[in-house]
Amino acid sequence: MKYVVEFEKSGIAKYISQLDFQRTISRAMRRANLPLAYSHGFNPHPQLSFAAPLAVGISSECELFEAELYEEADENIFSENLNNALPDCIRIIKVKKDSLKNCPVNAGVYKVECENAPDAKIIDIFMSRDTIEMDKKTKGGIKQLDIKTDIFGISVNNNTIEMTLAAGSQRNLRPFLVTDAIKKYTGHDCGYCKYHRVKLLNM
Amino acid sequence: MTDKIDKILLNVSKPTRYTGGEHGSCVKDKSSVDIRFAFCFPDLYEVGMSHLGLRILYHMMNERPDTYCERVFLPWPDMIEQMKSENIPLFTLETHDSVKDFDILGFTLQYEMCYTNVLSALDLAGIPRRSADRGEADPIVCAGGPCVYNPEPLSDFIDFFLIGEGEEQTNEYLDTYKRCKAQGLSRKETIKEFSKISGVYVPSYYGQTYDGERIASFTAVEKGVPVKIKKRIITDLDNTFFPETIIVPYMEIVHDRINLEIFRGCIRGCRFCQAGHVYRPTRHRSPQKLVEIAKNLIKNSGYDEIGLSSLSSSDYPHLEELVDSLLEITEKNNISLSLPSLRIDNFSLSLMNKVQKVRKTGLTFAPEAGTQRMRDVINKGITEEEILNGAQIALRNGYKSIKLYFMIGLPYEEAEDIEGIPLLAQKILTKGAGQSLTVSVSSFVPKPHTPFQWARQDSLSELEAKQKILLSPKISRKIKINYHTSSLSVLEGVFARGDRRLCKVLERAVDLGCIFDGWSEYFAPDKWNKAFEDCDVDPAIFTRARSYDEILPWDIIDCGVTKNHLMRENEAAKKGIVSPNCRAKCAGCGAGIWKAGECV
Ligand code: SF4
Repeated sequence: MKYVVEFEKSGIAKYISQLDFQRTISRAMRRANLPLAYSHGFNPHPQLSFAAPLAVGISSECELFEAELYEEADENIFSENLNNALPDCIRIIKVKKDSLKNCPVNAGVYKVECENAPDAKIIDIFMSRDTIEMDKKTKGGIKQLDIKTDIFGISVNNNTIEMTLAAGSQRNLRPFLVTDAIKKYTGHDCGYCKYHRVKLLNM
Repeated sequence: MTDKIDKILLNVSKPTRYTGGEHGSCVKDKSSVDIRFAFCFPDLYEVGMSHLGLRILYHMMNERPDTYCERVFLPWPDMIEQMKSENIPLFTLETHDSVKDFDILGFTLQYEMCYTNVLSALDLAGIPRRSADRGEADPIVCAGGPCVYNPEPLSDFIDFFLIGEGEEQTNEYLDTYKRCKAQGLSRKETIKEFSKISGVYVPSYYGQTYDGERIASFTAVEKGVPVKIKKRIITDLDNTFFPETIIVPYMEIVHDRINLEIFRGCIRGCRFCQAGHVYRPTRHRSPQKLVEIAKNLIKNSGYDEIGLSSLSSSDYPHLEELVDSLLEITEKNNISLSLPSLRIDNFSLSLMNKVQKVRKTGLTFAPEAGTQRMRDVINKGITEEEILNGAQIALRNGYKSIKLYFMIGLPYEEAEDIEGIPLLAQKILTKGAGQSLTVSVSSFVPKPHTPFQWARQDSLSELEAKQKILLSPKISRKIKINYHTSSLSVLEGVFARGDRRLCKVLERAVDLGCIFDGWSEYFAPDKWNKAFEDCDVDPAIFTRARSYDEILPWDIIDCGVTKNHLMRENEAAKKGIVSPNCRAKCAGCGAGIWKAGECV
């Protein structure tokens, strides 16, 4: 039985790496008495998968994972028990009997609260460029990458930049790279920023 | 979390070392408690969080409504750099408040090589290093753990030491602190009150004089303080506090599992082993109690691995019964059970075979010495025949590779004993041809309160020469011999048997940048050499042989085992005479005064 779980990460949860996060969820499922299925073989691992995992440093109100249980569970009880077993910084919003296959994701909407937000003019200058090339570390060394095509939308409101960026296993752009690019191409330093994901989309 | 800390966490490796907020960690209203206690394990989070003692005392203190115990670890140098540049002082994981604002700062000292970290933690907290320089606004600084069986090298920095097991004593000094605070007593008066608790050692109440390399006198300079500090122990483990829940870290820690402490102490009396002497008498938890603890912790932690912890699990009298009952719980819950510290014999292997999901990749063996004579000298009650049989049984049971642990630099050692190490490995290999063997050789460090406490420790060059001897016999290429740099062992030996003359050296070493000495990437022998030179202290005065009539720095500490017993054992070692274990025959070591465990 597969379930799709919608959850939020706040406070310190943004510092938990993806691998540690998976372990945190599977231990919480054990505490919550939810019969999580394990893969077979010599080194069984819990059947959990995440849609567009977040990079360390980003909080969110719209994350998704899929959990396979070997016994059926009531969706509300699932949600309530898991919430009771999790630290406060991870909250379950909704549990639905479903599969991640039915919830494709290729973009994420981020709110970036800046110490020193750029104004609309700076964003316009930034986005009017033909290409926005940034260094990306790959296995083969540092590569120049045009990130412009991965920015689906960007606007600024008071001290917050809202950006819609590619997210998922095909293409993925981290919002840090966008604030870095703004600095590189416009000279505007956003200062200390808080990155928060508000929505996952399929565009 | 303050924005200030938040800002730097993205610039450091493994930020969950510093965030706290794990499942099982304690959240309290800090304004509603009388005592704020900062509990510091002076090493990285993943090391400190693997320590059972910290976990027990943390939950025990937090059971008290009047106390909030919070954890502190030493940040890794990348974090220290960020904290310094942002002016962030050392903080606790629970509230992220500055350690300097706490009532008590308690260190647990698990190994000598964390001493520079203790001073670094004080520096980072903004607390004066030396007890004498602290004022009313500073926390009272105490320390416990195995290293305090010789507390002297830290005596200028720690206001009071806690000797022995902490479960009872902790509550006594928290009660005392609360009373003193309510009465408005000064720091000095409060420490005086602490000193009335059994097992508390206040180093500033004693003074030393020296005669060359020796201590000439060690006497009380304060009225009414004890001549010796007797360690505290828990006589009944079943009826002492054990937490029903544990903290479940986000990041992977060194021992990332439930650890079940099955007993304390050890009946064996290996002559090199400090734990086997200072934790006497051997006291067990009952299988019923252990199963109850295991059930609670499994339910409350969600861990899928549980391990037994003790100095020598094979000596637990109810091992089979315990393993059977644990298997009933673990198998249906998909939990793996690990059984470390087993002697390799038919009984152990039949137990290990019962435990499914055990990986038959490697097995470890600790003969400790290469020849029978040397094993008799150190009282490692194991014969060559038993070792060879064990290896054969292991190979027959499908263990592909075996790892063997040995020591060099032991007292009364001859070249032949060192050559015996590769030769023994060769014999094992010949018995089970076609397999591979790893031999890991460490350098012996004489420790206080053991029969070898008077022994001379080999110098660096002697140890290096002995490492060469290891490689001289012709043996199969399937045997891999590993040994480590000995300079760390020599330094460890200096601090293990050192005295107050080391305080200034330690301070100088920290000023020169020494930190995380236990981590090879940070250990800096050159800086240490300079620190000794600058302070005009010769480290060799602490590694030399001591005579029976000499005052030892740790004579002030009474761990139960008498000096007479240790001398008898050292004399037996010289002659290669083996002593029976506590269960076979009581040797009257002195720990019997507690009338507990095996001594009853
Ligand atoms: S008193 Fe006897 S039984 Fe007890 S620890 Fe000492 S030697 Fe062992």
